[in-house]
Amino acid sequence: MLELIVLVVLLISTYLIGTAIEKEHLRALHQREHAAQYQPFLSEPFRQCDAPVAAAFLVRAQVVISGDLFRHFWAGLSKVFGGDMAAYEGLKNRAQREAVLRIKEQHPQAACFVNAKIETVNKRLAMAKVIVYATVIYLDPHDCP
Amino acid sequence: MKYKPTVFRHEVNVGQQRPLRSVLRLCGGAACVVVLLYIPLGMLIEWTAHHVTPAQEKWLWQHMQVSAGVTPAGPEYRKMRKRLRRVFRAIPKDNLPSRYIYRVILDKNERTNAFAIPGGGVVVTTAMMSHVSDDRALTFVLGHELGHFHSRDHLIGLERIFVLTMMSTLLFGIDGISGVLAKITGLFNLAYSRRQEFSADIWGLRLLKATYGDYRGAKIFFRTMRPLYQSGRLNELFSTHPRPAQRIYKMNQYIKEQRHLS
Repeated sequence: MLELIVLVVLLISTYLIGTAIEKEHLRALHQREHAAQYQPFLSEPFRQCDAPVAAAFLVRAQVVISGDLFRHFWAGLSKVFGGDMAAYEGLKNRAQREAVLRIKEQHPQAACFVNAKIETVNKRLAMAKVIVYATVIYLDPHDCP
Repeated sequence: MKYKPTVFRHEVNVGQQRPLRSVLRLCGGAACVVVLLYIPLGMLIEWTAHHVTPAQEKWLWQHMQVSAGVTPAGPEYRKMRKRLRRVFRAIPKDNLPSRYIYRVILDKNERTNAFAIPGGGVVVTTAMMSHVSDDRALTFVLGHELGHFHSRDHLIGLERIFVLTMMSTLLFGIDGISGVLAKITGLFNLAYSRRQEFSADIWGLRLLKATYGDYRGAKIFFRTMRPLYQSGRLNELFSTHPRPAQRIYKMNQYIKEQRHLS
């Protein structure tokens, strides 16, 4: 009996805490994305423009976001009946956006990022691991790190 | 052309489902699946349990590698074992299945308990022996456990646990969810177990009457055990045994019926 009560309490508390953390992270992501919106992040190769390229090199970032007990429970039930794995969609989305922002924030003066690749590694269901790598392009030699 | 960034106001890559509603709906679905599988499987288990021979039971028990308890050594335990055997021998086992070779096992354990194991074994803990000092009450305990052999409750219980664990592992995998659902489905098993206990109590009374000519042993047993029982309906939900008050009520009903018949 005690185990079931503890489980229900844990599910409710992890749902409440997890939702609050997610909302806070989404709010922060929105603000940071707004600040970094003028840096294009493209999956296409670089096309030569009028300005010469001052520097170009590989950059990468990775993010691991863990799910809470409630999401794990929800995903476990979803596995039985199929359908959208809604429990982890939010996690994966946040991890991808966070990884892209980390690259952008490492190079705030960069003109753009090209050849970008976003890879999601599903090591375990309870978390989302995202690796992002891209070529950073600097057009102004004074901005180069 | 100047680069114009796009800011997405709504995230289209994340499902708009409401988590709590979705979980409740899925839990309901899982409960339906479990119940639909549990009822026919329960019937199948009962059918197979009555077709398993004692030899097969013994083989099964040996291969399960479950310890039937620690046989204690020492003069005080020797005395307990002697008393246990004496009380056991006094019980006429005419009405019980004769295919079994019954034996009593003393288990060194601090939990006040007694249980039937496949192959005709009745395990009584040392704590039970210490608490139940009256031979009549001990006869009721042994009679109750012997009654489980008549209905083959020990086998049905084992099979139910096995099937439920297998079912939840196949459906939900070997992770936390499986464990949680196994616990929830285990509640169904406990409800079944409590029903089994009522019929075992009646067997205890029958064997008590056959041994001593009265039912006083049951009364003494429940009086002795009263301080150890946890009362309350919620506790009963998570218990293998019904509430003592309910058990006493059912046994009184049986005694009244018997008196009426005689």
